[in-house]
Amino acid sequence: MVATEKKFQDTFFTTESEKSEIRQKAIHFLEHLQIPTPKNEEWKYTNLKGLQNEIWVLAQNPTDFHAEQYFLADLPDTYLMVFVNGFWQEKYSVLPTNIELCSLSEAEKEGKLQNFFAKKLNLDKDYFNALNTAFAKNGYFLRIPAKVVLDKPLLIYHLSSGDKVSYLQRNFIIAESHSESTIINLYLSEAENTVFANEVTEIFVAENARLSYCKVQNEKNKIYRVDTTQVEQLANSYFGSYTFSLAGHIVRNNLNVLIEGEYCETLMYGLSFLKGKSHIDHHTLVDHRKPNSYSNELYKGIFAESSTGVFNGKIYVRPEAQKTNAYQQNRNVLLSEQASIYTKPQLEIWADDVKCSHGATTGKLDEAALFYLRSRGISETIARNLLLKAFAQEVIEKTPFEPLQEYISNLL
Amino acid sequence: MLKIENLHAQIDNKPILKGLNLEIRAGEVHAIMGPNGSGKSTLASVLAGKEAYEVTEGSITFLGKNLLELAPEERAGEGIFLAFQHPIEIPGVTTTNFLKTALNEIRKYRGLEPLDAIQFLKLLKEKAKILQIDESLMKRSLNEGFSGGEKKRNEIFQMAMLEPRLAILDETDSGLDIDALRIVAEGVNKLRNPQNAFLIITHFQRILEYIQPDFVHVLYEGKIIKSAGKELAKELETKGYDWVKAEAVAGA
Repeated sequence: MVATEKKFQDTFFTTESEKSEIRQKAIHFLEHLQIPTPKNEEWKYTNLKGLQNEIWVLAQNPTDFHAEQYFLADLPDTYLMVFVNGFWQEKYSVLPTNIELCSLSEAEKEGKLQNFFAKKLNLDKDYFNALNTAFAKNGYFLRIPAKVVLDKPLLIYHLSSGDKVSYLQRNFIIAESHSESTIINLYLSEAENTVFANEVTEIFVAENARLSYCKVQNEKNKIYRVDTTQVEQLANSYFGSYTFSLAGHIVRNNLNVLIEGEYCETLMYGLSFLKGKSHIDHHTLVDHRKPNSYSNELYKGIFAESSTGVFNGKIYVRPEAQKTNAYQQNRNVLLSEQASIYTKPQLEIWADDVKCSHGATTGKLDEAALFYLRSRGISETIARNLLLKAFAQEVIEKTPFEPLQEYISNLL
Repeated sequence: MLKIENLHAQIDNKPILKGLNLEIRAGEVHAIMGPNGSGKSTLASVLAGKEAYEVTEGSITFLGKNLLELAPEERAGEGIFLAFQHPIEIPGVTTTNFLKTALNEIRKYRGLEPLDAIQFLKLLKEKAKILQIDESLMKRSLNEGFSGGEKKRNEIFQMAMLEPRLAILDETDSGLDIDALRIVAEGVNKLRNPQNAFLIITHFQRILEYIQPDFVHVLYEGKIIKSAGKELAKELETKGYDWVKAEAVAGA
């Protein structure tokens, strides 16, 4: 068992002589960590055994990959970045001039990561965070300077190429004070290859900054994806997360938001619409560490055929975080007997003067509503579709960029 | 137009309709009255095709077709419309989008070209005027947050849009104040013509003062036990149902 696991992480092992202190620390932690199994409470419903049964090779930067075939005509007028196997394809970039952007390796070389690298990341208990911190070489460092307001969203394509390839990607987004920006990540694949991808994105939202961060996960290959988005918010800042999961063999999303300042606003929206044997696991955490902030989370799921959803939503309200308002809702529709959802809200509240609520519902499509529509002449197929779109609409309409709303809506 | 013969229907193995006969011809307005639990709403649900109700015996013929073989949407295509006693709220679907889909689905069923957006909106405005419906309601989610009266009026508005051959009004009058009732009744009267028919299911004769029926039937324990002209409604209002029941028992 141990031998196999060693083999898995050896794929990423590099022999560079110079390793920063934090990377060495991560390597040290890795010695005591292993790929989590369902015995681990946090991985109870997401089994990574398949990951260990494959022989992986480290992904290369493909030379003849045509990313254009994935570009969406529905999302015009955006800035653009493209990653293939975690490698930044700079030739496609369309970027604003008022930001600072460079590759991970350049940022590391020039000491830009000093205050950010694994700053708030759980390394000692999280295998994938440690793995990524130890060995990730690809990714980007993006700084949106103070007072800069991006006039268009930054669209980032995440594509892959090659079979049995694995890669790590590490990104940093620094939203400085009074900046405003929207970032849209698209994870797409139409291929049949097997891929392992682990991406860690550390996001820092400074005082009075606003950042909307969207993800569309629609990889139809055999993808094993473990994604961690680690967010720190300072006073009066806004962070909105919008995650649309439409396909994925085994996908784990960790979204951790630490509220380190007062009067922050945190919105976390999610919509999963899965078919086939797709498996999506959303683990979210909003950690209220300072008073007077507001967080609102709404994750909805529609599960067809043999798909599986997992939702674990943690809200922590620390003793100091008085006058916190924190809300969470998880609502699911199961469309078949074979589909399943495991949902677990977890509220831990140590402060006494707070408003918090949570709720989880799971059911079938509303039969009374279906009959009502059919009685008006609408065929069963169209009626079902109308009801599903209506269910999804509540999340879609919250998304900041209207063409993205339409794009998602048309995918359903 | 509609012929119901010896209809038996049950829900959860509990018989509700026990040999109901009714014939409705084009141009007629029929009212069905009866005490609670007599099977009035069951009849409406069976006609519209609600799957929870099982027909165990008898037949329903609508314009020469076996209605019981048709799915709810096909019945609507044939021209059946049920104004629900409790209209369903559907968040996320606007009334406009819903009606356009319904109208064009029915047109497709009848082999007609779909209405384009302009034709549809013209029709929508025309019918909204008849029912005195605020057009801002059209942009809202279907029935969501509507008052009881707004929901009922929206049902009649949908009826006006879809122009059914047979409209079944299931206790549309309950929960309506007198002004709303008058608007609903006027709407029905404007839509009445020699080619269509109405079946009005009600507890009270009040609505029948505004919509004059050609026939009034009393439904009791799953059967029609008395049929007469519109004067029967007034008689039931003053005398209650007991004398009809007694008559039926004596007759049987």
